[in-house]
Amino acid sequence: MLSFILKRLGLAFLVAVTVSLISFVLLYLSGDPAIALAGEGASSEDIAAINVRYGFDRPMVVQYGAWLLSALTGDFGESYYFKMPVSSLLAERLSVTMLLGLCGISFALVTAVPLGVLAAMRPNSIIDRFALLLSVAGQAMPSFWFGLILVVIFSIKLRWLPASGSSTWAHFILPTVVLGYYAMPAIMRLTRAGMLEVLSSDYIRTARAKGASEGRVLFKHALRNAIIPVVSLAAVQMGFMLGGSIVVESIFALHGAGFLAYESISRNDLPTVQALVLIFSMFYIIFTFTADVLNAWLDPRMRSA
Amino acid sequence: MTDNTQNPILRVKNLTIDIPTATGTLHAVRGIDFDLMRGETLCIVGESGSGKSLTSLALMGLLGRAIRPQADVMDFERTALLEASPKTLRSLRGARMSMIFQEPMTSLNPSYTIGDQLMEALLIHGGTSRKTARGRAIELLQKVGITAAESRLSQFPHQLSGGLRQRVMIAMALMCEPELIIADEPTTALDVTIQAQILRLLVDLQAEMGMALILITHDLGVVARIADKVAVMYAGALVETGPTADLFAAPSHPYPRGLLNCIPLPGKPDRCETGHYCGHRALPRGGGLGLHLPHQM
Ligand SMILES: Nc1ncnc2c1ncn2[C@@H]1O[C@H](COP(=O)(O)OP(=O)(O)O)[C@@H](O)[C@H]1O
Ligand SMILES: [Mg+2]
Repeated sequence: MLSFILKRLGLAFLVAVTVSLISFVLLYLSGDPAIALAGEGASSEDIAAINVRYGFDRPMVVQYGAWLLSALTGDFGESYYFKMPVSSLLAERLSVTMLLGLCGISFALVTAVPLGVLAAMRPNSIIDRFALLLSVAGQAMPSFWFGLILVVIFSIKLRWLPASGSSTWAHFILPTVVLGYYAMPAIMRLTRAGMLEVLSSDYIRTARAKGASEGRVLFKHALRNAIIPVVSLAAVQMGFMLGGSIVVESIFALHGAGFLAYESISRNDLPTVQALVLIFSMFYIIFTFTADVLNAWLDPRMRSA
Repeated sequence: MTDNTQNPILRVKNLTIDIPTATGTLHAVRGIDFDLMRGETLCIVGESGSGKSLTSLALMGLLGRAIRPQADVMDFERTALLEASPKTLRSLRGARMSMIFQEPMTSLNPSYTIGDQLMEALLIHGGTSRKTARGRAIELLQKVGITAAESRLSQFPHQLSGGLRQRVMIAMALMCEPELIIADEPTTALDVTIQAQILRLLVDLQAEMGMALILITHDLGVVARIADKVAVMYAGALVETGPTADLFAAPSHPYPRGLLNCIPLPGKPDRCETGHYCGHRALPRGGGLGLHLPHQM
């Protein structure tokens, strides 16, 4: 197990370095940053001054090295637009997004996994049909629409929950439901399919032959094996939620990192975009690494891989 | 007949298993009867698809929700198995009656260690400590001929060969010292070179522990040597049941007679032929006998 973790850690590190390089280079390919900063009508002296001030005149490798080194210490430079350190901008926005992502994925897992298990226990029963309906609806309804419906019902009609902002935990309930609802169908279908397959396997019959109770058979013997693909899926969805929660963040006026990324791209705010791409990628890498380790713990056959 | 005045450990009268299918009801097992005394060995032979596995799963109560077996009598000691609550059945399974399956490669849970799976039945039924259960697991692994038993406990199924896994399955079935063991073709999936070893092991352990044994096998040589009673199944029915000596001396039904002719004896021409039968829908076409013929005598 330890050698597996070390191997995966090494792999994650290599991927991280590659990703940082790509994100650095890609943004330079999108145009000359000095011109972007100075504006269309700037004189060549202005551009030269900007090149010197921001170090664009140095060789690419040196720029990358310098950027990476300072990024490692948490210094991502200064935002062109906000004129403040990118790191303090991120600290504020990322905490909102992280909290939202964690709540969203937890909500999805807590509802979808039991529903998938129930559906698999009684295929074609009412519960199974209900779960199917829920997941089809989840995939079909656009999230801004679902979000607005929730706002109309719970904030405007019933006045139970706030419609926008991020100051209290109550502000996170509706966004969590909207974000989590989109991760639910895939998790539920995968749990159901996995449980159906595992429940008909020989080792489940063996467990029953030992006199194991139904709960023990379901959770100890079946779910542990059925949940393995779900773990990888949840990791990918979690990463997706961080970068892809722009719609939800806009509906509920939660100023998170997804929204910041969208704004910064349209403003050509290079340091902020670079920092966001790097950090989102790192989160992706961390999530997949965690999923790999979790899966190896669940399934001993993966440990030798 | 075994002269036994005590009550049989297992009594089956008119066991019937109908399986509803898309095209109608499949009469997979049609009214079979047999008794089994304590410590006795019943061998069930018969071609593939004749209902042997369904019968043993019905005895264990493992047929699942979709298939409901029926019987006039199906008693394990004083428990009527078909009327018993799920809880009662659970308290019997793995404790007083246990089963060894045909598929050693897939019958162990890939996610748990051999030790955990061995100890499980004892921890469920025995109310013993993990330490005691562990000791018992090591003892049984040694008994089924596994070397370095203690270090095997922390291994996972995928690290073991098929033969070893079946030995583990046997050890697992014996953890609670059951009174009845049902072994459904325990060696069919194994390499021919170790089939005999595993069967001998099973029979030796049965003699040592005094359990009743239902052995489903295609190996008539083994049947002739170990069975107290033989039941021949054919298309869902028991066509011959009786003490082994009687059956081998004078089989009354053409099917068992055909089966017996399949035992190759030195100097006897091989006349392996069990004839045709019709009327049992779900059998594979081509009439494969699925018999395992002993390679040499
Ligand atoms: N779950 C099931 N659903 C439908 N038919 C089944 C099922 N299990 C067994 N059968 C059918 O019942 C018959 C007897 O099967 P089985 O008891 O497994 O035979 P054996 O063990 O003697 O080879 C076969 O024809 C098989 O196809
Ligand atoms: Mg069978």
